[in-house]
This record gives sequence, C-alpha cells and structure tokens, in this order.
Amino acid sequence: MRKGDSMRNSWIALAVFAGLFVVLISSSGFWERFLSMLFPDLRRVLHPRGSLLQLVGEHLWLVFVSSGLATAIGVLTGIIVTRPFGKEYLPLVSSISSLGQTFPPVAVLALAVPSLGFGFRPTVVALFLYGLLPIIRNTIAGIQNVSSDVKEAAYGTGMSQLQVLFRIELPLSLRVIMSGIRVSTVINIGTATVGATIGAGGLGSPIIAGLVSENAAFILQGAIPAALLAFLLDSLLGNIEKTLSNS
Amino acid sequence: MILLDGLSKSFNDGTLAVDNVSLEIPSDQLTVLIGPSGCGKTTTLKMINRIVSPTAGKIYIDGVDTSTMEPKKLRREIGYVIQNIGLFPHMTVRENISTVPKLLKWNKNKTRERVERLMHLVGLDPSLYAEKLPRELSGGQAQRIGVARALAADPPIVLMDEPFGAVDPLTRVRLQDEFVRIQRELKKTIVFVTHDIEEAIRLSDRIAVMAEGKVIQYDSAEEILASPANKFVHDFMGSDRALKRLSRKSVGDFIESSEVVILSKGWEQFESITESFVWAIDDEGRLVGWVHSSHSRDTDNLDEALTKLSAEEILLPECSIKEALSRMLESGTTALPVADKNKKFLGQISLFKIQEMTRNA
Repeated sequence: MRKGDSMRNSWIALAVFAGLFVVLISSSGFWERFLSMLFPDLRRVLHPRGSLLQLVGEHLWLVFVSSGLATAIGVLTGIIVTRPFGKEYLPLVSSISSLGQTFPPVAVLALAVPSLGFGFRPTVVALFLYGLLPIIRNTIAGIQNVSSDVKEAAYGTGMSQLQVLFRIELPLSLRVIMSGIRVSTVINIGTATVGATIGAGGLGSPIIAGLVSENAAFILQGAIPAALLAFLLDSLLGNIEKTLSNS
Repeated sequence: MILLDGLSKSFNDGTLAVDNVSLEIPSDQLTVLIGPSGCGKTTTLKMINRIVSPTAGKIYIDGVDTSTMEPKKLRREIGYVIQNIGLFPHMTVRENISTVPKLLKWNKNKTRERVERLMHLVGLDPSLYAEKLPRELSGGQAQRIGVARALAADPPIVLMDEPFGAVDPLTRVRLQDEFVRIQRELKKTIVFVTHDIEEAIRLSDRIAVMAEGKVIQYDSAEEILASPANKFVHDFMGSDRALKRLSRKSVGDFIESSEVVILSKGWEQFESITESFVWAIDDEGRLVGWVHSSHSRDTDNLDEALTKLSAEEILLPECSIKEALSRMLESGTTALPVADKNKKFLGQISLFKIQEMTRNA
C-alpha cells in the first residue's frame, strides 16, 4: 500500500511542477522584468521570433518525434539482436552503438543537411540517430544481464520464446532500458537546440540569436526553459518506469 | 518409465559430453545420476526436457518418442529444479509457483488452492510467505519454493539438477529429509543429478554412476557399494564404502530379541537369565534402563540396581545402522536397546550382529 501512495505522490509532484513550468513560460511580463533586471544595459531582452510558449512547443515536438522513433526502433533492435535468429548481428550492432556516441551532434546535423535540406526533417533525423544509440546499448545490456538460470528455469516451465521475452526478460531489464531512454531523451533536449542553426526552430532560436547578437538575455531565455524541460521529462520517464515496474 | 536409447551429445567445440547412453528409468522411483564434474550427468538430464537437444539417440517417455512432441508441451509435464533455483526475481512466491498452472490456463481458484497446498507441503506458511519476493527468502526457503514450483501442475516426472547444492550442509540435510517425506507421499518419477555420494545414497532408489559421458554402473546403492563395477566406481564411492552401506540399512530390520526383566518384579527373574546384564522395562513394556546381574542383592527391589539410559543410548527403529554403530562406539558398549517413539521396548542391536550382517552382504 505504501508503494502505491508514494507512486501517487510523485505523479502529483510532477503535475505541480509541469503546471508551474507552463505558467512560467507563458508569462512574458515576468521574463521581461527578470531579464531587464539582470541585464539593465540591453535595449531588447525578449526574443522577437515568437512567444516562449510557441518555442517550447516546437522544441517538444522535435524531441517527441525523434525520441519516440529512437525508442521504438532502439528497443526493437535491441530485442532482435538478442533473439536466437538475430544473434549474428549482435557484435556489429553493439560496436556501432558504442562508436556512434563519439560523433558530435553538430557533425550529424552537418551531414544531414546536404541530403535532407534545412528545417525540421534533417533535425529530427539527426536527433533520432543520436538518441538511438544509448537506447540500443541499454536494451542489449539489460536483456543480456538477465541471469541464464532464470531464463533456463523459464524455458523449463514450458514458456514459449515470446512468453520468456515478455514475462521474464523485458520486466527484468525494464530499469536498464528505461534509463537508456531517459538519457537519450535528456540529451536530445539539449541537442535539439542545435537544430535552430538549420532553421528547425525551438528553444535553440533565442540561443543562436543571442550568440550572434551578443545578447545574453536571449541566451538565458532559451537555456533556462530547455534545462527545466529536461528536468521535467526526466522525472516523467522516471515515474513511468516506477509505475511499470510496480505493476 | 523413461527410456534413454543410445543417447549422445557433442557440443560445437567438439567435446563429446554424453556418449551413447542407454538407461531405463523406472516410474515412481528416484534415480540418481552421479559422477565427477564434466561426466555428462547434467547434459543427460537436460536432454530429457529438451533444454539440450541430443546429437544422436532417442528418449521415450511411457513409450512416446519425445522428439515428436512440442518442447513447450513436453516441459509443462516435467517439473524442473535447477541448482541456482532460478526463481523469477520480479515475481512473488505465489506468482512463481503459479507459473505452469497459468501457462496451462487453470482457473484462479484452482491455482490459488494448489499454491497453498504446495506451500504447506514444502513447509512454508502461505499466509507469511506467499506475497514475498525471492530476495526476501533464505537459501533454504528459496529452494523449497523452487521444488514447489516444479510440482505445481502435478507433473508425473521431475528433473532435479543438484537442487540442494547451493545451501549450507545443515539446511541440506533438513531439505533432504523433507524431500524423502514428500517423495514417499507423491511417488513421482524423479531424475536427480548430484555429485554428492552421501546425498545419492540417502535419496536414491537407483544410482547411475557416470564418467566421461558413459554410464559405468547402474544399480541400487547397496549393490554399487557392495560390488563396484571397476576401480573408478570403487574410488568414487570412497574408502568408507562399508560404512556407507550401513547408512542405507535401518535398525528396524535387524532387531534381535533379547532377555528383559520387569522392574517391579524381584531378583528371582535372574534365575533364568544367562547374560551378565539385561534390559529393564516397566509394567507397560516401556524401556527404563539396564541391570547388571552381579549387582549386590541387598534388597529385593530392582530399582537400586537400575542404570538409566540417556536418550542417545536408545535407538529408534528408523535410525540407520551407521548411526547405531556410531552411538555404540560413543557409549563404549557392544549392544544398544531399540524402542519406538513411546519408549516401548522392541529388542536390541549388537555389534556382533552388525559384523555378521556386513560379512554376509
């Protein structure tokens, strides 16, 4: 019973923080006063491209599409290469997923532009590729960590391969897989700001504009919501993980 | 009956783990596969439920070739207990035991009742343990749950791979005793892998001694101990084979009748007694001690001359001859009395009788 209570409390806390966040980003008056106070010499403190709410919306959409795709494809790939029929691809996939992490996201973007042009699409592709790797890696690690005794006992009771996957392997590797998804999503929130350089919009727009025009107020306007957003999404995924593992 | 017919298994690296094994494993009995590590006993066991598939040979269960059966279906009819227990760590004790009933789609009530019955059978109170997770159990408790899970759907056959190997020696002996009781009650066809010769002697109806993938000798424990087939079996059984044989025999089968005196009656009873000392019983036939015939006969009351016996010096009929011998050596006598749980005197067992028995066997 106590487990359920603490679970409910963490969902309530999350909802409260999310509400506060929405109030914060929709009150432009607050940002104007706050940033003028910090930077009294600047003529303009609010980024003109659009309301903060709209920028957060664009940003979230970028992250949602890319991380959603990365999660679906990453977990699926991790499952396939740990099945008997996919075993031969395991070494290849796991070395690619480790190697891929060493690529800076800007380089991925730079490679995506010539083939996909500017804007939303190349950014999503870059974020997807970049976010895919931690998910694949953690899915493989999680499933491989399930003790072979437990798996043998499961097959010994007469479970089919799918039953072993869904009743034993996935529940036991949930924590590791979810932490891969969390890392990937949080990284994507940060990386998505780079998308503004090729016109994908989002919270990167005020940051890039601020860097170009040496306007620190613009930079904070993008950076603070992005940081808060990362925190919120991380807690959301953490709550999902706990809820799943309790059921 | 399980029939292994010319069974062989070679692994990808070329090692021949099991080499042309043929074995008839009788129903409702406990057959032990024993041998040093790497002798192929576990591989042989795992071929029975097709966790490992044979390279050559067939396995028949009650005449049906198992290679024609779907593995899933086959395994649901065979209980399986492995050395490291392999309880599912994310499931409660109840969910663990319910695994096979769930796969067989039993209804909830039937499953619930079955889980509770099995937990009582293995000696764990369901109201205390059913909702616990495996990590909250001790090694011995987890092993009991492993056995309960294997028995869940009442399979006619149970395969056990060193099931008591991972618990401390004291717990192991207790689990073995309980297991003997459970097997006496349920009468399953059990194939039991171990490398512990004491365990094999304690539990088995028959023993197959294996080495280098082959069965060297297949017989009852008594027969293997009395006449090992070759030097390997001889050495494997250990130099104390004679003592081990005694551990298979129980006192109850070798009771000698002996003279007794009734405590409430007087010394005149000794007129017909030839031994120098004699067991004494009360009016209800309960053993109370012994009396030496040369004791001074100042009064007519035998109480004065009675030497009482400690609990250690009275043998129960189910006690093993090995233990009887040990107690004799400890108390420095050549005979000990046998009495049942209520102290009713049954007779005695003597060193002479034990020697005679080992000579004849």
